[in-house]
Formats: sequence, C-alpha cells, structure tokens
Amino acid sequence: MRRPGLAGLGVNLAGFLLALWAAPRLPGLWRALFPEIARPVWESQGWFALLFEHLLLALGAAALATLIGLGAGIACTRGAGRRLRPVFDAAFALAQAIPPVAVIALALPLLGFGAAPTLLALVLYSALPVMRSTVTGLDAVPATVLDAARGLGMGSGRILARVELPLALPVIQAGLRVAVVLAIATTAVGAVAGAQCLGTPIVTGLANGNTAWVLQGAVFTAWLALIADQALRLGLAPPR
Amino acid sequence: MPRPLALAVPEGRARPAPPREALAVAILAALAALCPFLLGWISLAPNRLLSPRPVALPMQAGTGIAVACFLTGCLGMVLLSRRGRGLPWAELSAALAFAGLLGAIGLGAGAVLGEAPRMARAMPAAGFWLAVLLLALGAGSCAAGRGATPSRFLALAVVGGGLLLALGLLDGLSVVREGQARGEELRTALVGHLALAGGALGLALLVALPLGLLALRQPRLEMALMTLANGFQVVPSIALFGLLMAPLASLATTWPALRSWGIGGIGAAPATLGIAAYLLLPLASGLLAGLRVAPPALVDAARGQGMTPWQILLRLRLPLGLGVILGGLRLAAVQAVGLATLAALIGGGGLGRLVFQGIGQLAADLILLGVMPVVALSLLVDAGLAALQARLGAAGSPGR
Repeated sequence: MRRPGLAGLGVNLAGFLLALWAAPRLPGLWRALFPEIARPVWESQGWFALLFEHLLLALGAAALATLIGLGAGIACTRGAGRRLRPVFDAAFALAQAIPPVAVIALALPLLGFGAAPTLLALVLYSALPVMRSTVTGLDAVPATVLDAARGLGMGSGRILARVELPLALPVIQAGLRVAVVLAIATTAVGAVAGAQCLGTPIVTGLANGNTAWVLQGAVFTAWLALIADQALRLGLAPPR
Repeated sequence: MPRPLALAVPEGRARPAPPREALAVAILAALAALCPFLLGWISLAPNRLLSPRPVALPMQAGTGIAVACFLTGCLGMVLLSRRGRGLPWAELSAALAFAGLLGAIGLGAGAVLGEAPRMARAMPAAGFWLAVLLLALGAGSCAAGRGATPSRFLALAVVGGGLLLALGLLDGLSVVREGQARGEELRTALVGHLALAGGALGLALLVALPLGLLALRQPRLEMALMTLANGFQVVPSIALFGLLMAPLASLATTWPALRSWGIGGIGAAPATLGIAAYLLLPLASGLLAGLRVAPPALVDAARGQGMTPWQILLRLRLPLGLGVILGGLRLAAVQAVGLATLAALIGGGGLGRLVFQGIGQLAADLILLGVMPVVALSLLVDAGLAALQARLGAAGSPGR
C-alpha cells in the first residue's frame, strides 16, 4: 500500500515546486487578488533560494539535534549516565513550558541578527524529542533479550549496535519525525530574528503592510511543512 | 524477604541509599554555585549603545548576605537531596538560592551604578543567567519523580522575586528601569496577553468539547476532527496567522459591519482564531483519551444497571479520565501563552509587542521585559495545572 502514498507525495511536491516557479511570473494574479497593493509580487529574493536556505537551516539543525539527542539518549540509559537522567527529564519539561520564540528572542542580543539564534533554538527544541524517544525505545528492549545477547558472548558495544538500537528504531524514528517537522516549522519563526527562509516574506510583508507578500510566504511555508510531514509519514512509517 | 547478606553494606551504620536524583542535583547545584564567580554576576554598559562588560560584585553587607543565601541554598540542594524525603526541601532550597542570587545582583547593580556615569546601565552577566538555568534544572531534577514540574520552586521563586522587586532591591537593574519607564505599556501588554491566551483557550474549548463528546461515538467524526487538528499543528504558527489575514481582511472590506466587531485582517480577532486552531489537538486528544480511560467492561456494567448515557459520562467516564483530560488542558494552556507572543506580529497586542519592538531596536532590555513575563506565565500555568492534575487526577482514579 505504499505506492498511492508515494504518488500523492510526488504530485504534491511537483505542485509545490511549480507554484514556487510560477509565483513571481504571475503578476496579473496577484494584482487581481490585491488591487490596492502597489507591488504585490515578491521579488526581493528568489523563492528557490529561500526554500534552499529554509531547508539547509532546518535539516542542518535536525541533523545536529539527532546526533545530540541520540548520544544523550544512549548515555543516560547505561552505566553512570543513568543517574543523570533526571536532568534530561527536567530539561524536557522546562523546554515544553518555554516557547521557541522566547528562546530566539533571548538569544538575539547575544548572537546577533541572522541564522544563529534560530539555529540555537532549533537544535535545543529538536534534540529533546529525539532524546526522549531514544530513551523510551531503549528502555522498552526486554531484559530477557539483553540476557540472551550477553549469553552469546556479545560485548556491550555490540549489544547496543546489533540488538538494542535495531529494536528501538521504530520509536526513535517517531521522535525523528517530530524533530524534523518541528524544525521546519520553527525555522519560519526564525524570520523575525533575521534568518533567511520562507518566513522572510511574511515578516517583511507584515512590517510593510503588504498582505500579498504575507499570503505568498504563508502559503509556501505551510505547504512545505505539510509536504515534510507527509514525506516523513511515508518514509518512516512504523512497521505493522 | 530478608536481604541476602552478601549485598549488605559492610562498613558503618546502615543508611538509606541516596535517591537516583541525588547525583544530578548535586552536580547542577555545584555548577550553579560556581557560575557567577567564574563568569561574572553583573555587567555594566556605559550607555544604551555600548556593549556591557562584566564588573566585580561590590562587597557590602547587603550583597554579602545575599551571596551567603545563594551559597547556602546551593549547599542545601546538595545535602537535602541525599535523602528521598528531602527532595521537596531541596527544591525549596533551590528557590532560596535563586532569591539570594537575584538579591545579590540587584543590590550589586545599585552599588555599581552609584559610582558610574549617569547614563550607565547595569544588567545581569552570563554567570547569572547560567546559574538561573542550572538552578531551574536542579529543581526540575528534584521533581523528576513527579512529572518534572518543580511547582514548589517556581511558586517560591516568583513570590521571592516579586518581593525583592516590591522592596526596591532590584531597581538598579536596567530591565527593571525599562519596566518602570514603560509601566503603562507593560500593564496593557500583560492584560492583552492574558486576554489573547484566555480567549483562544475558551474558543478552542467551545469547539473541542462538543465535537469531542460527539466523536466518542462516531469514529468518522473522530477521524475528521483529528486529521484537522493534526493538520493545524503541522502548519507553522506564523504562516497560519498570515493565511488568516488576507481572507479576514477581504471579509471585512465586503461587509464593513464586521469591522465594528473587531473582525479584520489585523488585530486580536485573527490572532485569537489562529491560536485556538493550535489548541484543538491537545484539547481534543486529551478529552477523547480521558473519556476512554474507563474500561469498557465497567461501562457495560453501568449500562446494565440502567444508567443513562449522561450518567455514565458524568459519574464514570469523567471522574476516571479527569487526570488525562486535565493533561490535555495543561498542554493547551501552555501553548496558548506561548503562541500569544506571536499575535503581536499581526497587531494582536500582548507581550509580543514589547519583544518584537525590542528585536527591531536590538534592545536587550526591551526583549527581556517582554520575554520574562511570557516565560514566567507559561511556567506558572504549567505548574498550577500540573498541581491540579496531580490532586484531582489522583483522587479520581481508583486504587491510588
């Protein structure tokens, strides 16, 4: 049953790219929709450049967050690291109560305008779901399986690589999906701190009272997020 | 069952083993105690434009007492967390450390400014911020066993901070001065923020409650509701606000009467609508999961006894699932407070106005003035509802 989903995703993606290509080439459409706005077409940057920057920032942060989250998750399920687990639980609870935009705003005076504050917030917020799912997945590996692996003479490193991580993979993948969708969505908020992304036309449009730019940026940002969600649902579908 | 002799600790008196949180709390408290000494307590900027530099904390009677409070609090965290029963007290000790730290930089800032030029501004240095973060994490670690929301620490820290502020001990800090200069604006923003978050929560409840109750019996409605709620969650908030703007603006141009109700492209109405859309998922999924906590066999038995569907709902499903339902409400309320910050982007007011104004001017004090109440509000809402959840949820479930 994977084919129809894949085809749907392909159509969606093709439509998205076509719309990105067409947006600056249809001044008539935007003039008709927004007759009162003098320059309704977004021409400051190319849409593909913005898309590239958006994906670079979001996926780069997600990759970094995956490394951190996986490492922390593995570390706090074994040996002495087990005793540091309350810290990670507390960090998770704290981050849930503090909105990402607050972190971006707080980091701004320290790191300056641009992508840096957004990257910080992205890594912080994406690492936590990965870590939590890693811990949950590793915790769920039955003790009997571990005993059997030890009985076969496997070392702890090999047990981790060959037994624990493969068994925990579905849960970890669910965490990864949350992290990537979160990263793509949060990147858009980074536009308020000067990060170049698909959110940039929204923020610029809001500042200049140009509803047309806001609408274009909003449509493409939302569309990208939905495509990412769809793709990850397909690619990381849990085995049934 | 008696413990095997081989496992008994051979030396000294028998002591209860320290709880699993002890090491984490001890490390965090020790780091927190070191931070201000290594990275500085306060920074001084010659004026608003030049960047701040760390300065030494002036030692006087007041700052001395405050620093002593801070160190005592950190030490208390280490010692009290050695026993499982001491963990709540270790959390309170973290609050004492926080109050001492705040008092130290407040008094220190006042003293430093006394000798500095008139335009100088004093602000907390990196050491202070890191120590606050570590204290919060330490308090959270103490509370890790019960959901990791250190409600005791938060309540006491907010009360202590408010007291220090009311006594005028923090007047030297630049962010407090900024707040005093913008008192009226800050108050309006706070009220607006609460109205936005509360209004959105109310609106989302109005939609989610009846639909959730109906969806309990109609799987197709449940699927539609959940698909819609999940879809909203995927769309970035800033894009949803943008998407709402254009249609609402054109509605208002077509029927000018709507404008008198506050409906238009910009303002509080689209913001409230946008925030409410995000709250659907936590509210609806919490409600549905909560109503399904009651085991089907129990529901069947109640039906067999002749209870009406309403009676089953009110006497069985609701009391049993209250904890889960409140969990959804808690998540939604916290999200509402955070999302209301973005409302300022589309002219919805709230504390985000100060934040975005501060971002525009790259004025750290103004950003802080807006962000700190947002963070405090969401932490308080989270802690308050977590406490309510613990009390009511535990009372409702049997056998606990």
